[in-house]
Amino acid sequence: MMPPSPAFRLARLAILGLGAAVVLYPYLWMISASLKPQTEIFSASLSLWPTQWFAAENYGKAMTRIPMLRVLANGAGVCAAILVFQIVFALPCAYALAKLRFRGREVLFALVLLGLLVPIHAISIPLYAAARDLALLDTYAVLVVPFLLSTFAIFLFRQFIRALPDDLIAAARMDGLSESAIVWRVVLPNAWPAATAFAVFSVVAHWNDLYWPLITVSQTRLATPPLGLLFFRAAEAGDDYGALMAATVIVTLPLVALFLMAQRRFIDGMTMTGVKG
Amino acid sequence: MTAAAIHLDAVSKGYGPTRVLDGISLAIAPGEFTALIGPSGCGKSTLLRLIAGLDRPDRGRIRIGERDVTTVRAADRDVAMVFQSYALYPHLTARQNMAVPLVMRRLGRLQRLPVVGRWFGAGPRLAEVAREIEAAAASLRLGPVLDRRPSQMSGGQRQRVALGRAMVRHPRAFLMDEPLSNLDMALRHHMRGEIVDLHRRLGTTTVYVTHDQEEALSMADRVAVLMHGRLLQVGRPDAVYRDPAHLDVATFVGAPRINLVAGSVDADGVARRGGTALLAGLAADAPGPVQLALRPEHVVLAAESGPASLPARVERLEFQGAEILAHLRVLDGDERLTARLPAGRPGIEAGRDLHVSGHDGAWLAFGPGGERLRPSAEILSVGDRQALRHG
Repeated sequence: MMPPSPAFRLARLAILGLGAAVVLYPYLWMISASLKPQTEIFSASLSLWPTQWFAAENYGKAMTRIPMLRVLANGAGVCAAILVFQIVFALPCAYALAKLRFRGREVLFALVLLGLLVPIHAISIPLYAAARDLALLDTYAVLVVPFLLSTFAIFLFRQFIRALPDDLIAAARMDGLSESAIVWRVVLPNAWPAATAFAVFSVVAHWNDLYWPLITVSQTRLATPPLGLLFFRAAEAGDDYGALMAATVIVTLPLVALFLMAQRRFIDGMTMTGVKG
Repeated sequence: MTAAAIHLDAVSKGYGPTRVLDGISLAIAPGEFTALIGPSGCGKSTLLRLIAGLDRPDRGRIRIGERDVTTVRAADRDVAMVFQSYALYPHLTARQNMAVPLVMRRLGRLQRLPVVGRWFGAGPRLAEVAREIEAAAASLRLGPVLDRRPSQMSGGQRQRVALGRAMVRHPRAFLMDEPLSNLDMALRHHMRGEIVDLHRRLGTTTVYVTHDQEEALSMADRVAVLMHGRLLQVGRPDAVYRDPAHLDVATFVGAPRINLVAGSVDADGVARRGGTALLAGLAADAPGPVQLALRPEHVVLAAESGPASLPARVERLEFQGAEILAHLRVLDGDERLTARLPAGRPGIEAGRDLHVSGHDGAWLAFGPGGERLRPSAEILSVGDRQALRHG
């Protein structure tokens, strides 16, 4: 293969750079605003670099006006619980759909695909009513329970498990592993790339989710990060943009860090899985 | 565990409308090395999976030892399988791969738990497992790769780890599904020897599936030829080769392929090609077309026509070292024949017309359905008879 010409490489770099700038600019602006005093944010001259540093004040407010650490811990706890249960429930389902032969399997899988098409908003009223009847409103449980079973996870794992060799499953059966042992001892360790990819999707979605916490939780001590931001804005009467942006940065950072870590593991997982002989 | 006999009794299996196995009955003696051969798609792997317990037969019974295992799940049959793809656990090292069957069998559910398993007395048993793995690894010369994962091993090493995983638990039978077909030629020949040695040392009943008839003939005590879901012949390798029961067996077993010429049986029980009598003493009650078959090494080439010879032209010679293969075409038809001759025999060159005959008793006759037509015992071959008449 010919190495790409310098002109082509330059053009490629320019296009990627432009795309990155468009995506990153709001974040840069967010970070910039979190470092500036209120007056500078609203000044007529637009400059990313603050002339007067106001970081300590903004971040100090963000950490103290609402129980920020608690909000972050809530987010982490809720996301972790959701992710663990999603994998615990989805992996056996996906294994059954991918590798076991039984009557009605295709119908079940079609139902899973159908489930992918239903947005949470469409079923939120019955879910809300059920939560109210079970006296779950304003608890951690209500933030986790509706998301325990992810059709997306079933779909993703099923596609991945189908690619595992049948002989591997057969060998495990010969070795005396039960079907559930196969799921946890053979399928899961070899499904890390899929699990990591799914973890990124799931954690991002539930960390950032505002809709469901907003309608089911009204106490600050139960707030997840986006809801915490909302409470923060209400507490600050919504006009201290420097502090608000500082809070936003704090809420975004763990996600960025997690993503970078997962990305590394994702690639590791891909290269280490020598599934095929 | 001692080696167990395996009995298949009228086993049938189909997938949807296709009948993959049709009434297979086979008895394998304890400690015997049996090769199941047949072209791809003949059902041999399906049969092995039925013995393993990975599939259930639609009809028929399977016994391992004294026990009817037809409905017993794979894990409880106490047989081990080696797969074509090796099917090693990619996330485990060679040592851990070999430990899996032992750990699953010897440790209780609680003892198998990571870390806390020790509280339930897993320690001594794990030490015992480790010792047995070391012993198996030593006999397979796996020491250097014990702590590598499959992705860091060569094909031959993976193959040996797969064998090790099968043998550590001393099963009542080994089932091998084309275990050598992913290896290159040199390694395949080497591993043939290792598997035969292993079998001799352990004495475990072995069922070995392969599409490579040469592999089967060279390794097995007994060969079972499976085609179109039926067992066509079961016997010692030399018997299957020399005395095939069916045309399909004759053509499948042996390389280069057996030579075939079309002929017919007449009312006197003599099979003729054109006017030439090739084989006498067949049952005379059903005259009709037959296929006459002759192994390449039984072909006799002569410059002069003989009493039972067919004229043929040498088309091409293939040098093979110690011997040459002469490719001929029958002059009064278009059948192609192969003759296997010692290299350096004079008078054989491309373009020459020669006369082909068979060693005494070497011609085999097959009826229109492929069934073997045997001469009655007391009647000698055409050549012998003529020799007697002249003498």
